Amino acid sequence: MTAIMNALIAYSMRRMSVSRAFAYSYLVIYALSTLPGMLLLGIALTVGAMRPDRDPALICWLYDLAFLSFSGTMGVFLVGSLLWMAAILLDKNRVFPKWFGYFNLCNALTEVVVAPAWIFKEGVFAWNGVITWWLQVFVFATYTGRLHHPAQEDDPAWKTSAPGRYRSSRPM
Amino acid sequence: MTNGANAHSRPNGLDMPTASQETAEPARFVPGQPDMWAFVLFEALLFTAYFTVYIICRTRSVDLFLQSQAHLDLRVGGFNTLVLLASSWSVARCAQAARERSFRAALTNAFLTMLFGFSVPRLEGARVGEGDRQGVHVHHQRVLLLLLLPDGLHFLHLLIGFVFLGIVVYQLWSPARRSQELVETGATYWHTIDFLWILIFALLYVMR
Repeated sequence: MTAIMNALIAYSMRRMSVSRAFAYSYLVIYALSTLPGMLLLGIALTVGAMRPDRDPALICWLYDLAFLSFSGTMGVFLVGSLLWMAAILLDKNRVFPKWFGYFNLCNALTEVVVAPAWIFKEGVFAWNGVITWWLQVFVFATYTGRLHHPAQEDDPAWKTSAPGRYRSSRPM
Repeated sequence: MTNGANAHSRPNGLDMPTASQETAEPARFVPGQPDMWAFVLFEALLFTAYFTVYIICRTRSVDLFLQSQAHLDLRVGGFNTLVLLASSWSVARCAQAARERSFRAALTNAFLTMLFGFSVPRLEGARVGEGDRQGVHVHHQRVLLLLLLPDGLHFLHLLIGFVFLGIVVYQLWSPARRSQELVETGATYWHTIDFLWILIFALLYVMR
């Protein structure tokens, strides 16, 4: 599902007036992020679930590995968000609304906040903490959720704010 | 905002609203891209969340927080506030001058804003370094990080602010560009930095 979504995003970026390098680097970055973000997490959690008789300390360590691999590798998302932001703001075809470009910046800044999860084992900065997990997941979910409503361009409030200035003659 | 009202405020989509438009519709005019104001809203919400977490943690162990707050220098924070207020003033004057099409004055004010901006991060950096040197145990460290996190995030916003100022200068530089909308968008971003800092200063430095 994620692969389809990222492919669609990359396709949207190809429709923009910016260089195609943006779309392909975006695709490569997110394809790469699957390895620590999903594959390693999945393997580690499955190992933990299928070997319940092992030493609890080992299981605990395994879960630490899985979730730090999942939420600790936020650098890729940071770079990906910034790439997408640059593409949206430079784009002249208005494939995405500008405010979504700025929302990318907002998301990128929240990714930074996850970094303390590597240092702290408990509290608000641990991988399951309020700031490093819940806040980040909330922002990321809102950010990804907004993506599924690309109809904003038909929204008159956003459309008339800059009437046709960015339209280029270039075909989609 | 309704379709009619918005279409009315930007009737022909020009970069520069003329003087007559401005006087006719002073209340309806949104400076810069409206999209930037969405960003301001998101950031305000996010920082509200950080401050909520901070205050909840603080009420749980007030003594520890008071000890940690001793690391934050009120004078440095006050100086930062003044510098950022001055920079906000100069960036407002920059947008004003660009609106009146006196671009030399606008450029001077943009550079003045950069100058004010440059004097902030060094002070912030010094303070973070001071925090690092303390050999403190984990609980204390976490409290210190809760105090320094908004500071650090604000510093990142400031760095990005220089990018926006760079765009403003780039726009003002050549007569071929000079998009009033982009200048005002940059100014809006810069005001956000100041706005967030005032919240940080009040909640982290002054509130004891």
